[in-house]
Amino acid sequence: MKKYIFTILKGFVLIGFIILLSTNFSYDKDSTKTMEEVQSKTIENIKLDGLSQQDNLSMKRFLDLDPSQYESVIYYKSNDAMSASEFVLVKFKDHSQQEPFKETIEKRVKNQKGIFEGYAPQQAELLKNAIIDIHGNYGIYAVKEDANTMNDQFKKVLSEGE
Amino acid sequence: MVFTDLIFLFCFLPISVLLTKLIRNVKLQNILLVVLSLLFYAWSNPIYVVLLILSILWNYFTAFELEAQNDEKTKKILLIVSVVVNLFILGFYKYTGFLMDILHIQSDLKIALPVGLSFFTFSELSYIFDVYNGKSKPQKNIILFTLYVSFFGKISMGPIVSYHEMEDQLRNRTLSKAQYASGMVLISKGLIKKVLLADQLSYVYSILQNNTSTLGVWLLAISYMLQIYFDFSGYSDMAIGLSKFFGFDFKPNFDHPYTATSVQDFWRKWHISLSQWFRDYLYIPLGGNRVDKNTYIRNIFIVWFCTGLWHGANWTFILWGLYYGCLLLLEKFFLREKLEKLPKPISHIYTLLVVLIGWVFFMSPNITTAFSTLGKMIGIGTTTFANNQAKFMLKSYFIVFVLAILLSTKVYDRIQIFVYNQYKMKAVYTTWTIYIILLIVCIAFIVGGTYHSFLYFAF
Repeated sequence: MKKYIFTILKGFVLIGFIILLSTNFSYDKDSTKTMEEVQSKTIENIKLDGLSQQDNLSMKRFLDLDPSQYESVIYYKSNDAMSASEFVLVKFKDHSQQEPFKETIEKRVKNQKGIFEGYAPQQAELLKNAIIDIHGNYGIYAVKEDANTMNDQFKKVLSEGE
Repeated sequence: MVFTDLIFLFCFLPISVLLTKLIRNVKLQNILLVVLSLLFYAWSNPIYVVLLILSILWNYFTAFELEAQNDEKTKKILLIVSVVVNLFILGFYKYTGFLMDILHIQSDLKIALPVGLSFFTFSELSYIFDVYNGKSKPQKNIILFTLYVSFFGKISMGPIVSYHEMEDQLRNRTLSKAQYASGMVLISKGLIKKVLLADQLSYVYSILQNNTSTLGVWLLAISYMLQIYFDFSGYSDMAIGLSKFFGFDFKPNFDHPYTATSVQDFWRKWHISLSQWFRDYLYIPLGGNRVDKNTYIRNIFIVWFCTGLWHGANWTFILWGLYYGCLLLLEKFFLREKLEKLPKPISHIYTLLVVLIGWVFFMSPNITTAFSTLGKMIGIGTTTFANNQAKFMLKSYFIVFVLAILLSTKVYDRIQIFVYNQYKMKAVYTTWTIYIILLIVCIAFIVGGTYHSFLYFAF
């Protein structure tokens, strides 16, 4: 019996392996939509007052993102230093970029919270409800009053025609 | 987390060292190190810790299964099944994409390779082979076995320490001032090699990617050749150095490979732990060189095919491995005596050239690009001998190239020994001062974000 106890235990480990490996097959399919299409649908009817599109240097400076590593990145940020509003749309070159992107943005949100918590509670609230969402080869980060609407439109455009 | 992360250098490592120093009891130290190692591994992606734990349990139970089995035939079957499962897991994460490309299967499925999978799988295979061969007894203490597999000093990129080499150190370790000092020296050397040499050479490599001049392509290849050495040996130095802080003593993984005078000599000095693994667990079990000529040639091709494939899921790596297999056979059957008679500088140049050609395959995204690059190195398909970009890079990075070439030899070690003998403690203090200054420069580079991840992370 002693001989077989380890075989039985290995059977459980094998089941564990199968479950773990199978998680690799549940993934969001990549979208074939262009960034222009995704961007235009995501920000449809969204007020972008006071937000302006940022360049690569700003992405590196504020978000610690290297745009050259991604297929495409769009970054809008508020011109008002007292506002935390901003959003990012990113198209990944491959799925291994998803986690690092998410970690980088989470760090950004954490830093921003530290800045705004003290003196701008409304902005801090916006940051608490920040959207960071990834679907296949696209990702979104939004700190805005209508961030949820943006995210819904983002998810909708990616699922359309797939 | 990687060794060049600021959070590792200034937070994780110092705290780990302090806690280990405070806890005198080795058993408690081991528990602490296991917790720290799993935390280190989980840092990049917590789900991979599940894979690591399952892999540890699989091999932990396999060892007992092998020991309990008296029938040799059944024992062999158990071993084969266990090895196949280990290799299947490795293959699933590492080679699925490659296999899909070969079979022309279109899919969005992209499987990320867990950090260190190739390294810890091979460590575990060494364990079950050692148990099967009677070289080691199964490790009853799961904490010790987990520590062997997951120790953060070596899990990411090796060295691949065989179980029987680390077995005693799991239970008996000492922490001395000499160990801390030599550990600190190695960590400093490793960081300097990585940040100040490898990363600078990586700029040259990335800028010259599309250069169409002969000089540019040579600089591209040479910069990669030097970059990969300083990157990987730098990491190895850091790994071995920080392991000393916890009482572990691992053998060197590199021994100035670019001073080799034959391909066989090169592979005694490059990624020593991997070469020894393939020698002990594949080459020798296949019969090694104690077989007839045809079987020996077969053995060499199998080992070098596997060596190439281990490095990556691409035909270029397989070709790179087989290239070295052919060269080793050539040296064994035709060139050995001739190389021994040649003046050392000539055999050295021969070795550097063949190694450089090998690196061209290694660095290329596909075989066509590799041959195109080799063609350009002899002027085929180039627009000129030296264009402005190549001349600019050579001029701008001349000192980096010279330093890198000198430091890849034993020149520094010889100078250090001479200076220490001449000036004794003055030399020691001066060396430490220089190391501290260079370390500060390294930190400045890291903080400035002007550094790159380790190359061998990808394997």
